[in-house]
Amino acid sequence: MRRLVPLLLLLCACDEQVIPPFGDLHNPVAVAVHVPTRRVLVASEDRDELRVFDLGDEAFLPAPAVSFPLSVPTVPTPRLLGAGQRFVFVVSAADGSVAFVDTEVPPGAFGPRSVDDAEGRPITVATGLAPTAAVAFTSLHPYGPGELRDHFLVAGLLPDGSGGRIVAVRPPFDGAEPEILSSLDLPGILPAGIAIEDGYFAGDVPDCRAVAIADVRQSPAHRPGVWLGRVRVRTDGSLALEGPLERIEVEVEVVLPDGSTERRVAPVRAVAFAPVHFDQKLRAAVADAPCALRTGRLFAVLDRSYCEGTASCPNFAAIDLPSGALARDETTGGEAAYELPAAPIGVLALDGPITVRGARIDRVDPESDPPQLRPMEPGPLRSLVLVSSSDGGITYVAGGLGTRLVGPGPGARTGSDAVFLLDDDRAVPGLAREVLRLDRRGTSLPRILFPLDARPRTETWTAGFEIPLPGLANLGGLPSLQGDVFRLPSGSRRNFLSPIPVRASADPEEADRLVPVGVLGVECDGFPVVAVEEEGRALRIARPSDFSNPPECLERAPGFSVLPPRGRPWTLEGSATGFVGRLPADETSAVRVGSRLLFLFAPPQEAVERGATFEWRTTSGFTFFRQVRSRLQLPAAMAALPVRPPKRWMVVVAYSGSDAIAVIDPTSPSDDGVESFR
Amino acid sequence: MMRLRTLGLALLLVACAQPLEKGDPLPAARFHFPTGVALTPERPDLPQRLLVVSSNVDLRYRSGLVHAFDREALDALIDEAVAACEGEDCPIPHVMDLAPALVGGVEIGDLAGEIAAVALEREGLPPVRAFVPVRGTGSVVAVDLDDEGIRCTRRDGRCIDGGATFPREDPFLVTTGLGMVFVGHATLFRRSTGAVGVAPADAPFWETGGGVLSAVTLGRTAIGGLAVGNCRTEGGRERCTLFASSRSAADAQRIFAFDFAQNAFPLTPIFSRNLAPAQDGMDSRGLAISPSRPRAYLAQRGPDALAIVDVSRMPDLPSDGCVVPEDVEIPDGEACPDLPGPTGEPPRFATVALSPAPLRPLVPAVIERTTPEGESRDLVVLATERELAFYDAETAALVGNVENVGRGVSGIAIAPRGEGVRLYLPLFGRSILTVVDVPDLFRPQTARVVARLGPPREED
Repeated sequence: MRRLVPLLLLLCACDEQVIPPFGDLHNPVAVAVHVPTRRVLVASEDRDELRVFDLGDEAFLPAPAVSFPLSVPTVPTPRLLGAGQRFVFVVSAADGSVAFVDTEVPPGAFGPRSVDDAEGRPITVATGLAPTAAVAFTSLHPYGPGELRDHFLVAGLLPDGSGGRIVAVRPPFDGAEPEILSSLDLPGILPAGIAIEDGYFAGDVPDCRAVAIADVRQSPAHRPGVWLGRVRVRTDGSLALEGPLERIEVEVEVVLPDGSTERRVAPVRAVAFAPVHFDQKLRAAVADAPCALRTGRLFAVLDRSYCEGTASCPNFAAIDLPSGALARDETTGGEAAYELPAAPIGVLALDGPITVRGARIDRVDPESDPPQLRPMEPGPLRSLVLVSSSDGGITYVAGGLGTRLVGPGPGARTGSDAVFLLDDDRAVPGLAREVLRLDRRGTSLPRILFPLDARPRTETWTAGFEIPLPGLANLGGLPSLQGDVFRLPSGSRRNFLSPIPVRASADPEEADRLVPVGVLGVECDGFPVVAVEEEGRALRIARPSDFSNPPECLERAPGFSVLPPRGRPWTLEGSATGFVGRLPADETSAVRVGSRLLFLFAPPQEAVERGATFEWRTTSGFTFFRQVRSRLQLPAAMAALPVRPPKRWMVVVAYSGSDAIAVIDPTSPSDDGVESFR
Repeated sequence: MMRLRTLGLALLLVACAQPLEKGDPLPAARFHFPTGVALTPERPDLPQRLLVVSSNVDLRYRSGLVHAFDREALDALIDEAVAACEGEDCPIPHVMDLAPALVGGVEIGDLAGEIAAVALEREGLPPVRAFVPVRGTGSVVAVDLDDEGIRCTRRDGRCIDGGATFPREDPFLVTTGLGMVFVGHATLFRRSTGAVGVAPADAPFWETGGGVLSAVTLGRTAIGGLAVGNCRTEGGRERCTLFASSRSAADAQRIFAFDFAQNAFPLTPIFSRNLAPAQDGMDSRGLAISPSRPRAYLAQRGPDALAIVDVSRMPDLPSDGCVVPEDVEIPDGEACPDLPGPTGEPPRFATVALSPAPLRPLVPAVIERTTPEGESRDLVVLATERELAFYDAETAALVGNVENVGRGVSGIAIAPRGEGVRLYLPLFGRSILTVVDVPDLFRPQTARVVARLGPPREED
């Protein structure tokens, strides 16, 4: 394809159109948006170089040989990037060093360009770490001429295996070498992600911001979570990373295979602070308490190493600050901890108001009577959180702002707002397909009811009246019944204990029944089971006098099946939930998974025949609102450019698996809102 | 790998068109298109051997070969070559003459694949036996190692004619565990179903000839990686799990798990899952299992990445739900009453992380590390088309790489060396071994190529 470019250029020369060069990206693993120039720097890891994409022109910058994209040679294996006001920082995964790219170049020169020594090699500073995460920031107080204020925080692993460390790096300027200004040890902590709070200029006070560190270490001897420290830039431009670290424990509820729940502490893989909402109150509050948390919320990607033995466990959580408690979910009223699709990789929080076209949330319609859920447009979001995942998708979350600092005093904050997942489904929880009678022998149907607190799964259900329990039909013929004991034939692989245990009871109305089946013209009540014996290979039965079993039942029966109890003749099975049990014929039952209500089942009011079978499909009414393009794989990094006015965002995603970047309009997740460049 | 297949196919076609003229025997100290490498288990009765497979994929020589070197002697050659130059600017030494470390070689036929070695405990058997799938004969060849050297396991010494029959075309991958040998086939052409072959390592047919590996069918797929892990004791009996990754485009990222014990292998996998919906990918390659945690590391293709997969176990219940009267609520945290019991504990195969990898990952391996607090922490080394990449398994961060290993690394053998490890890497195209030292396991950026071994193949 690249060979076509010069040819196309020649062909187009006649009308002076210029086709911009392709990016020729090779494993783009990191992006940084340089806001002043509206340019994106992309780390092309396999080529030890950066490419530069202009968001205004929507094209890669050309090299002096204009057929090719501009290459900014840099350190080997560039893995992490960050952009300040002037400098872009590059971290080498090969040796942990940090290099610098200057966005200010002399007039007429091609740039941005690497800051090199006299021999043309990138000037670097060694961190002494195995780098895992990094973030750049521009402080409010300058430290050098020309209002230089750029800094870079690198988190990484210590070379003795004892934990991690953060270092603060200052770029070279005015003849000064780059240097590590400050470091903060993280003993026993494995930092996998890092985030820094937005700054806010409040006059002649230090620029003091919270730094969040995602701790991914999972060990019985350690409690992971998010650690909060501070970076303080004094008015003279000097910088210090400051402890003590405050740990936020992310304890979330996981669901075990039996539907029960327990709480576990989750390790954290990535973090982002909620945006800070700026106003005059905040200015006064920061002037009064420069190190008070301005942001009111933290978003955390949870590492699933804590999920062993669970049926489901959250991989994303919203945490209120400064309390450290999980935020509240608007839809469920519970904790804002979610299991998002695939394995989340990164998180990006965008300041609102943002209206996402096509997104919905199920809310109770205040005008409905009785109250009913309706899919509604959520309106402008106070913040939009984008979570990139291993399947190539980006999931949309309405993240809110949490408890904002209003002052005076560090404790004066607003109340917390709720978080919710954006919904791509026009349905509400309920029936996706009406109840059908499969045996076509009648028209009376059971009713499936969904109270407001019902949370059905998307699955297909089957209900039967006096049908064999799953796996317990056609068990054997008359020879298998000797006296009151029914033994499975020797070659049978069935078992009365597993997977569905036969219910034995002294109460004949509550015991499963061994029922002769296939006796033409005769209906047999069968024989209640009083015991399961011989490790599940045999049933002991009773012969109550009020159970109707004409002689033909034990003379002509071609075989036996196990049917539910006479007092609970209905059985119910879901394609996802499995066999949930036996239901009475004369009352409404609740179908649950642990404390979660799926729906109510009301049997038909008219009697139905033995063997009547019904089917319906339920829907959760929820589909994750996502940005997914099959041609774009492995979203390794995200960055955003604020565009004002009007206030909007351009989100840039590096897809390392597709050697491409994409520019996304987050308000429009349709094809129109996504453009990819290679 | 693509070049290997294309070249092999072309040569096979040529071979069909005209009588094959076999060349000279491959010298035992010269590699020729090496495809596999392994170290023998450490035993008191046998010095450790480094085994390398020459595939002879271009049929230049009479046969492919298993080369056996004394590992200590080989290291001494390397150390001597390294010591010959002092200073910062020393070139990477290239040890041409490997004869002083050579134990011997066994001809095994053409188009061989990987190699795996297993210790044998039964009296009358050699201390170590190694197995090589050979595509040319569609069989698996065994070689024995003892203090006298290396020899063909077949009593007639005719390993060149093949070994135990593998029931599919193109046997290529092999691993061992609990005295069992497992073989996978790397391509899926004429036969419609894939399979893993299995046999006891001490089966008599390895000596008598005429054996056939049992086949466990896996559907329409070939195998990209095989690995044994999750070894534990259950009911007084040692059990492990064999993991196999899929290369099929349709079932792009399926991983199979088989629980097995010595001389007891199931007819079907206990569990499998296609991870493609969670991590994309197709035609993925090698698989490695953490020795200390329920984790699998997969060399994923398209997108190129190291995939970290949770393979922990979970009780399998026929239901997680129940029915109760309408007005009955189950307290938060409680399960439904009267739930049926679990029917087993299969793994779940959930993606933990997907970390971008350099171009075309091929072979992963795990290096065990112990922290100052005594905890195990995996360092994953991933051989790709152009380099070695090191990942910290907890953070999934790329924490080092070595770019000048050479192209086409076809295997990784790891030996402890001081506080670090030494890696032996066969290079398919150049037909040499590259040796990489990782002196400090928590500073993988210190990894360096320390030597190249064997005369390079003359480029055509």
